[in-house]
Amino acid sequence: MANHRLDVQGAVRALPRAHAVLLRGALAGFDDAELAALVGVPPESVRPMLRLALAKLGGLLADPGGQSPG
Amino acid sequence: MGLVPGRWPLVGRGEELALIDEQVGRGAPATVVAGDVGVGKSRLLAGWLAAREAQGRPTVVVRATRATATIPFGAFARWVPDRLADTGDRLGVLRATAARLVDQEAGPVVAVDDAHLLDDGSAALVLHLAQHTPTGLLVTIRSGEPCPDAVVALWKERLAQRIDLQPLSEPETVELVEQVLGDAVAPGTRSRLWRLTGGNPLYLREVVEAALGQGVLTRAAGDWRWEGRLAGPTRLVELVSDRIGGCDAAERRVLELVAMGEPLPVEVVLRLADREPLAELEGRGLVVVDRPSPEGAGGLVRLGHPLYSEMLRAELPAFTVQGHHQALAQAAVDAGLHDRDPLRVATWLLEGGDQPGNPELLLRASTLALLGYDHELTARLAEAAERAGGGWQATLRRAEALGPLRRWDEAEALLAGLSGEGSAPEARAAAAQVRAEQSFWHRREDLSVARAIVADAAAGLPERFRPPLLVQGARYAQIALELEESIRLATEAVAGASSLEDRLDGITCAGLAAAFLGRTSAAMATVRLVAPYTATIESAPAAVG
Repeated sequence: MANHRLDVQGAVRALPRAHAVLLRGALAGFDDAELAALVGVPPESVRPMLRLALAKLGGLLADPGGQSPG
Repeated sequence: MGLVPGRWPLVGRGEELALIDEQVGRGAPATVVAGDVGVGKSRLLAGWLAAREAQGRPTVVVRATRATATIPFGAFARWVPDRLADTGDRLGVLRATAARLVDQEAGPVVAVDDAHLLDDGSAALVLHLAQHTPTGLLVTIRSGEPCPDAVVALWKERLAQRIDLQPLSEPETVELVEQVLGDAVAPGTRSRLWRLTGGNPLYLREVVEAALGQGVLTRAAGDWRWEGRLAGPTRLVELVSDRIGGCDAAERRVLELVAMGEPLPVEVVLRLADREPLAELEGRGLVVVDRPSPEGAGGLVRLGHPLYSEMLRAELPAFTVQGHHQALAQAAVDAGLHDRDPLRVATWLLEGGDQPGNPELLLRASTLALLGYDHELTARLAEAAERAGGGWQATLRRAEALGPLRRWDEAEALLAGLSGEGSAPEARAAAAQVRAEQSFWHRREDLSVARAIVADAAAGLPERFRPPLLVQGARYAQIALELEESIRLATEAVAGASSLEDRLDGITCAGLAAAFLGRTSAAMATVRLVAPYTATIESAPAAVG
């Protein structure tokens, strides 16, 4: 039977570093200013960046074929 | 000309294009796309414009350059009415140019590429278009570069949504390369390209071109594979030099030190440099400082991109490299890093050319290098440990490393020296173990040779040094399928063992032989004996030191 478990950590690792950091920070409950400081962008840019990061993570989880193992 | 000519396809930007479309579609005054050099801002803009052109919706495109930056309204010179060009009436020029753009040519959108290079007049015009006209703006800027206040105001005053463009993800990077090369890329090569370029399309292109040119990236067995090492291609050096060219001497030194030691704990960097250049480099994205984790791990400093490190190291003269290694080693020891990361610190000591004076550190490092199968480094560290007074353990470690390197004669000479009557019994026992292992596993000699080595050594040693040799003999007997002999030797080892480790070794060896013989009860009995100690053995720091 196929393994249908989602490898969310693997997908996050395959993202560009700033997207991965932003997602981890958002999940940890950081606010926009803290997230902006974490990834070095203005606070105004956090929400669109988060939206892009989530979209790319969703794409990776839907089609994980390109991720390297581990 | 490049080996992969022409413009590379636009890959992995579907989400960004959709976001821009959404902004323009809902009539947002402006959208700003920011990004590092090479991340693909202009390529994204070109892709978006091409799709728009294909729909028959023309857009005015303005490209700011360093040349136009010195000319008032230079980027918009084409649209400045001639009658106003030489009047010095800046407000009049601004209004008239905006009117021409809106009424005559622009349609709903003006795209401005590299807006961080706009002169003040052009920047004011951009802000004016966003604030006072129905024209939509799509603006790109380079992250970390000074930007005219009027352009910054676009997102600060919430006239624009700012999209910070990031490099490609790993699958997007692979997709781009495979589209360009026209075939699949081997898994190891995929992750290597992504790690090396960080998903930056410009760096990716340069790396792929250089690797193709140098024969490092070749097509074999149906896919593209990376074999070997890049030798600092000129275009890459230029790219990185452009990025770090504005650094002063103090900042450059920090970059070089981080390139040679990354990731470096913040406390090590701050022993080598003032806080000011580090903060400046961080602000410009040339170094990244990982914040301390909630678990207490300290912050780490690394370069802003893996290619910076490759190129910086390739350019450094040998004496500078040596000096930096000395400085890193000293700072690391002062910060106590040698306790947490002995292998790195000892390697810096070695590369720094100092006569190392800490045999314990070098021996611990050599153990870690051996565990990592880096036999060359193990031999070098062990040799340094010998010079520093590391004793027979250092000599033994060097011999251990030389065997797998097929330097048999050197290894044998060292082991013979340790096996003489004048050596300590511990040294003779350990040397016999290594000689036997190298005879059987590395030199592929007949098993009888290894068995004779451990048997002879055991016979000539005081009782308490025999158990490890007996266990080794018992293992060789198992390989020879002499299982009763294996049990006999292992039992003798257990009887004479003075340490828990030797005792457990003997019991497990005997248990395995019993299992092979089908004596299930005896085998299970050994498991019950050993089981309580398993956690103790696994957590013991026996591997280090």
